[in-house]
Amino acid sequence: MINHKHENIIKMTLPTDPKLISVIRMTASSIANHIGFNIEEIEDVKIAVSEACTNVIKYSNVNNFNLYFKSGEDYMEIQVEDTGTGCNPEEIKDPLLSGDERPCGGLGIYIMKTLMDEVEVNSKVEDGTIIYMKKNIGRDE
Amino acid sequence: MDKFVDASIDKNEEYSKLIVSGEIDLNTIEILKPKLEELLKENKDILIDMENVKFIDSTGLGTLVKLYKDQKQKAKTVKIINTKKNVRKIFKITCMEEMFNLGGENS
Repeated sequence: MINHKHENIIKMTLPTDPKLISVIRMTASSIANHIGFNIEEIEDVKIAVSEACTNVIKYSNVNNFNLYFKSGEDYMEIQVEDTGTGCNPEEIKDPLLSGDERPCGGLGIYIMKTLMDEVEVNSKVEDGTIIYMKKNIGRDE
Repeated sequence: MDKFVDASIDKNEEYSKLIVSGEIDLNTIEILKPKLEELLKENKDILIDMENVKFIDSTGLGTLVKLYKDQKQKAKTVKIINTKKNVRKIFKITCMEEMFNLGGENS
């Protein structure tokens, strides 16, 4: 998880407005490019950030949320925090186990975990959600 | 804010084709849904050309899965063609290439 007391953290407080999703992706893309990620890695970061923020906008039932970016020499950390309805992470189903009858829920988390090197989801019912993600440079296959 | 997605329908006797461009996400999916509903009413196989789609996320995939299920009930198919590398990757990691008949690497 990102320690909020660290220096060199970019913090954005955003309204839960779907129109901002593309702006968030552009911001993440710019930061990843600045660190030195290649094009494929930048695309991975864009999708993961988009999925995390989409979850907040769709499910949190709050007006605002916080998005943090922390960059290192060869990595990027992203944290999305809301104080909304939350959920029990154990109830998030694996979207790939059910074949044609796959549920749509859980797909975003699955995509994040596939594309990023580290993903943590801390959530409690009625106590908000924190999604932490880390991507290292040059770890693609 | 500018329009981030566009879609046009090209109907022929054998199938209905949807040409999509832009970014498919939570913000833009509501623009696509009426087009998909229109295609469903045709009762034909559906072909979706994604040559100019730059981005798709789970919101877009979820809508496409619903389209696939609706078509399957009518014994019809959904085929997606001309995906960019980054878009193809999302179909691949979610094991949906076969569902949408994406075919070879560059289809």
